[in-house]
Amino acid sequence: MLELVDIHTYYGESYVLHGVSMAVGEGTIAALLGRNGMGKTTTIRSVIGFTPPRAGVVRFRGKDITNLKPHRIAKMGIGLIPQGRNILPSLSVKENLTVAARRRGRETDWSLDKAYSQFPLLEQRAHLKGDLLSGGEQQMLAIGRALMTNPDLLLMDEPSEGLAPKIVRDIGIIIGQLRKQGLSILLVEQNLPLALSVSDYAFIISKGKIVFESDAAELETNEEVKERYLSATK
Amino acid sequence: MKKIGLALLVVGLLVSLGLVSPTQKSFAAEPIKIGAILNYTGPAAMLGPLFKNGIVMALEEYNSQIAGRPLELIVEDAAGSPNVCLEKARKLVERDKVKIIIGPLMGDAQLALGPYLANKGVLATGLYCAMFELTKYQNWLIYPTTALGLTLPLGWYAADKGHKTMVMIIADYAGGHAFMKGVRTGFEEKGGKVVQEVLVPVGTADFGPYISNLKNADCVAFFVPNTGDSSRLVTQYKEFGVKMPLYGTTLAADLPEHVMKELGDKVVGLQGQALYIWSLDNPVNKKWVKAMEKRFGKTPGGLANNSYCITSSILAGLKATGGDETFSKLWPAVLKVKMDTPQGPLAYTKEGVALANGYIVEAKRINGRYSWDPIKVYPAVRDPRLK
Amino acid sequence: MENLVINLLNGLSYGMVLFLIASGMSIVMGAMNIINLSHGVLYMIGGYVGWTVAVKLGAPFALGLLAGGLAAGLVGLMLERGFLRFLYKQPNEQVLLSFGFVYILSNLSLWVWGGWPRMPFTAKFLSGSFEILGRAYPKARFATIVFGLVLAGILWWLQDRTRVGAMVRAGMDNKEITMGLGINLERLFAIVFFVASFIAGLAGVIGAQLLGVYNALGLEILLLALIVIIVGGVGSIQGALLGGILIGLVDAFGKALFPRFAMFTMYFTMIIVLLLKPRGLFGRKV
Repeated sequence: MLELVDIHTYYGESYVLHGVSMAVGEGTIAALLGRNGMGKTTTIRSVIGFTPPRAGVVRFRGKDITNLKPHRIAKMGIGLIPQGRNILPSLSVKENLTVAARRRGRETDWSLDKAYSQFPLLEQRAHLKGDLLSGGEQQMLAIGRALMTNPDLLLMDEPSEGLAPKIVRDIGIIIGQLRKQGLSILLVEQNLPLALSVSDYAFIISKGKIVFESDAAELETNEEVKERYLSATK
Repeated sequence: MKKIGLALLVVGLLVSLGLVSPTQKSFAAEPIKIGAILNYTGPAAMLGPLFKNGIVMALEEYNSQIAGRPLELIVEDAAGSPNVCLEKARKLVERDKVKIIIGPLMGDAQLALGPYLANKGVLATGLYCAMFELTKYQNWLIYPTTALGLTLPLGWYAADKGHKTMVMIIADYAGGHAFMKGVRTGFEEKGGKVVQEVLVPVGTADFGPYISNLKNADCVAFFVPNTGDSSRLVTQYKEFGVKMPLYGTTLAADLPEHVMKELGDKVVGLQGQALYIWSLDNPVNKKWVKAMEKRFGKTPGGLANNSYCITSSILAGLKATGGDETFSKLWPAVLKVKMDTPQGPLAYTKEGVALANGYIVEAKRINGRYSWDPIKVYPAVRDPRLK
Repeated sequence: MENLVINLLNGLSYGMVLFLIASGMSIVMGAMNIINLSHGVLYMIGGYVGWTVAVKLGAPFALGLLAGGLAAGLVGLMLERGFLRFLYKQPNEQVLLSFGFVYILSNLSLWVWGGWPRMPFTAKFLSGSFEILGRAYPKARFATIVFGLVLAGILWWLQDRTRVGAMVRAGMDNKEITMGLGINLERLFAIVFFVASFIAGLAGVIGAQLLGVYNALGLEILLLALIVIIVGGVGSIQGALLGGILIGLVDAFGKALFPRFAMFTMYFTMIIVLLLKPRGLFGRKV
């Protein structure tokens, strides 16, 4: 579904990604793990086109999307759930959901009704301005917003950040449901238990390079790697 | 050899700097330079060419030469700014070496030039009146009279028509006050009383609010500068259905025929004072209008008349001095000039202010053509402050 | 009493013209972060073209209105597509460039329409006045109030009740995220710019009923628009409407009550609003 081949990305003058290569298989969830500042979000930004790579190739469904504009990349079927939620404050909950919505003509398409039944809390708050919601509600809204574009691939950047444990559990359940529905997901997370519980495959990035990759189950039992690259992130 | 070469170099340098001329040019062939500062850009942009026509016509009547010296006209753009006018004046006096400058038009620019031109001994003129204050420099020709003098006839006329009270709408700047002071002076001289003065800031686009709040009087007199403001005021005045008769100053200049046509019936019946109308019925004017139409392809108005009369006075003075433009000789010669101009008889007071006719005109539509019709003349109008 | 009503109407009619000119500029500033100083010249071009169509060619006023809007819209679009869009992140350059266009377009207008000002003009059925409380009031001014309110309604509806409006507001909130959701903001912004310019052109013809058209309008109107935007806040129709009405009323009552200082009432208002609400009355939380 998604392939990154030897990506080198700069953020301003800062050389952040030093040749990142990874992939997300169709219908699978790949976790991208690592400490703060190692390049996780930059990787997401490189895929969606906010900070395009200076070298290397990004392929989505076999097509080269490396230097396309973000809106075109998104339209091809990639849904973005950015770090920090980034709800649009001038828009109501309903507008946040519908503003970017796209249909693909399938029976299983996400619609406003479907989104409301998945996230009933949002229907209750439909006419409130987006920034009046709690953190957990905003996360639901961000997920719903991306789903409304009916993507094939979701880019989720730290969905559990700043949320209470119960909400985090709910998010885990939702992610699992999305996977069952056939979505592919690239999940950036610092919450290791959450990431490993939902993912099929895991990549660890350190100082802009992929230093380890394996099945999620295998990583779960690999204390040495976890200690080396992921400690102080629990 | 070296010394000759050096001498040659020095001489060549001096010649090229114009400090020494190889042949002594005869005084007679050296041109008399006349400077003019006219508006080609800025809010009065359309007026520059009209003034220039009058100047050119006067020059050509003398075959562009006096006493064997060619007359050279150097025109600069006033650009609607006193600062720019001062720069241009400096350039004319110091680089072009003129001793005569015609214009600028605007009062604030004239005041800015006052001290400088007096200092340099340049014969200065306005283009359409000028303020009495300039007479203190004793080098300004003011035609056809001071700003106050220009509008005296309107004040007299309002009183002569039997009005006892008046409201005045005045553009709030030096020129505006000067013009309307004449109306008030004339009106009060004949027993009238001004009951309200509405000061409108320069650049007011919408007079509506002012018009809505005028007190009741026998008549309303106004001055706002330039075509845009005058026409808007007249239009808005009519739109609000104000019943008091409206009198304008400088209307004939501000609202030429093509503008009257656009205003249509709103302007018909409007009365005001004018210094010149093309239809004035005297032999000098009839001849002049024909000549102007032939030369420039359009009927002249007050602006061309002004610049023409001013220039003609100066040229008559130059003729009297035998082509000598030094100020101490030229100035008294011009003051002695008496001539019949297109707008009537012309003479000068010893302050340099002209004594000319003041006309009352009315906007009429005759056979589909709009014009200002002279309905009364006040001869040799004189600002009461003059000696 | 009649005086109060007349002054009120004067203020509202003038205020509507101000609203029209400020609304486009404010939305462009809020959505695209573009400071377009040539907005005032677009107003003037609209007025001139409207004059040419409605007065010189004698066509119906409504046609002149449409023509003025289209002319301004097209010129504005050319400016944005050809020049301003390359300067999205450079406000200083935008100011310089758009100011340069003020001079270029003003001089072009001078060349095309000459230096003589155009007289106020309006539709035939709107000339003349009708009676309000025993006083005559020009029909055209009244029509201006109505027109302004209708347009305000349409624009507000577009802004707050349509998906396109939501997209624009989203772009104002967070340009990057909005694009990341698949919305083509570049194309949307070009449309917004066109609409803003179109409205400026409409404003030029509407305003011409009261003020006529003349060459100095480009900068005069710009100044007024900026004051309205500062008072009303950037980026919303409501802000432009309230700002315009407030300034219009302040101006009208100022001229009625203290004519000599009427010039300053606008600036006083602006200062007071800035002290109380630095972002303007309806400024966006940015």
